[in-house]
Amino acid sequence: MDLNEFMKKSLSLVDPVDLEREFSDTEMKYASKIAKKDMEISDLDRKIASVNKRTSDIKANINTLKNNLKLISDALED
Amino acid sequence: MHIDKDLVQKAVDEAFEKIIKENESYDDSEVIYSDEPKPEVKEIPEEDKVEEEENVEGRVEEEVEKAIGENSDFNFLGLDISIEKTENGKFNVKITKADKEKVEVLDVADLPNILGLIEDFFNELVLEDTKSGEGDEDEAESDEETPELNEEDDSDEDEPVEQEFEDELTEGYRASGYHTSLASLRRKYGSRVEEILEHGLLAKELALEMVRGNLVKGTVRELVDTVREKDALIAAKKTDLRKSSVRYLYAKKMESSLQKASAVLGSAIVDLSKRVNSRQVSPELARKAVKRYKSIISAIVNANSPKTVLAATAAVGKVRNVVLANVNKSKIKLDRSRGVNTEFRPRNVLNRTGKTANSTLLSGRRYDGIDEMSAEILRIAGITGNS
Repeated sequence: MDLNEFMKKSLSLVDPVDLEREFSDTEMKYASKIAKKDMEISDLDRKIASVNKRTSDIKANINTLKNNLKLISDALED
Repeated sequence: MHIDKDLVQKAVDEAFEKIIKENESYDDSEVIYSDEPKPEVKEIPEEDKVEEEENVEGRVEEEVEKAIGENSDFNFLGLDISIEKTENGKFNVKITKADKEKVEVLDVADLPNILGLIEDFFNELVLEDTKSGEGDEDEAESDEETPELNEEDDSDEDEPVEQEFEDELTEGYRASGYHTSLASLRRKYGSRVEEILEHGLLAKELALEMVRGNLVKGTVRELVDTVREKDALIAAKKTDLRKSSVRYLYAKKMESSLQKASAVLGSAIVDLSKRVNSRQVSPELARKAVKRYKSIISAIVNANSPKTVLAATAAVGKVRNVVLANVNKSKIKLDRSRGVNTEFRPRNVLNRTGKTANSTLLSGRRYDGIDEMSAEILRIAGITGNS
């Protein structure tokens, strides 16, 4: 019996439970990594939305200020 | 030739003697084949042991080959056994009982191999009986004890690759002259079954370890791709956040600039209005200043950057300075005229007691207009509310 035959014979002893364990270990390792990344993406989305809302509020205030200046200009016409 | 009881007894005795000697060399306490007190075993030198074993094996093989040469047909336990020596030095062994026949090729026609074949033959017979539903519990147990035969039996249901592998393995064993039944293995290694089992499990773990990378390669590739996609998404989100932050800061600066411009403009216009009322500024200069302020307001309203707004705000200060400079000039002129020229000069007496005392129709309209305009400007600039 050479080493290859020994390997073949040994591999024939590997059962589905062994394979499932191997797969689940690997999947678990990557699943936790992917979950962390999902959380990071969610956090970034929240920050972007918050900043955009503040910017939108400021832009509304800018428009109000410009309208007031226009009214002053109109008042000076008189 | 007929294999009689004496011949088998002789072979079995020699085999047992060999096994007992082997076991004594491992551990005297592991002799499990006899409850009788251990006989005194004379210490035999290592070289003599090997020589003696070779002699015993040689004698048995010699006897068997001699017997085969004399007569190739035997009868043992009701089986017809035919052994033929082929041209390439191997032995064709044919075992027959009733309608069942088994043919094997052996390299060496020694007793353990032939007995092993006979055991296999009987096991196959038992399996066939079990399959046909005639087997009892004992037969089922013997079925469990012969996994080699089970594998052969189950091979019809296995995948072709596995069957091929099993066939190769079996052929490999037979070609190398290694054909040992489980029963003889159990007799030989009875005291070390657990160790051998553990070793087998270690071999399985080793094989699994060596192929683990390939086993999970597909899964890992998919997972790595997913992680990469997430990384790319995170990078894009970070870029978006940076851009949003820049837009926020820009808007904040614009807002701040506009608030400052509104305050400065409101204050300047109110100041101009007061000076117009107090006649410190000529109407012509006031009109020029208002025109300039309107132009500045237009620039601010149309501005798209804080820089433009700040520049326009600075221009308000310049206009205001020009107005103040003219106010000072007119004061100096007035003082000089007062000190040098004492003759009577006509002056407006309508407002001498204050603008509220002016009761003429025109003065009233002028008063109302200026006051309303100032109030409106102050209100728009956000100053009125605070005062």
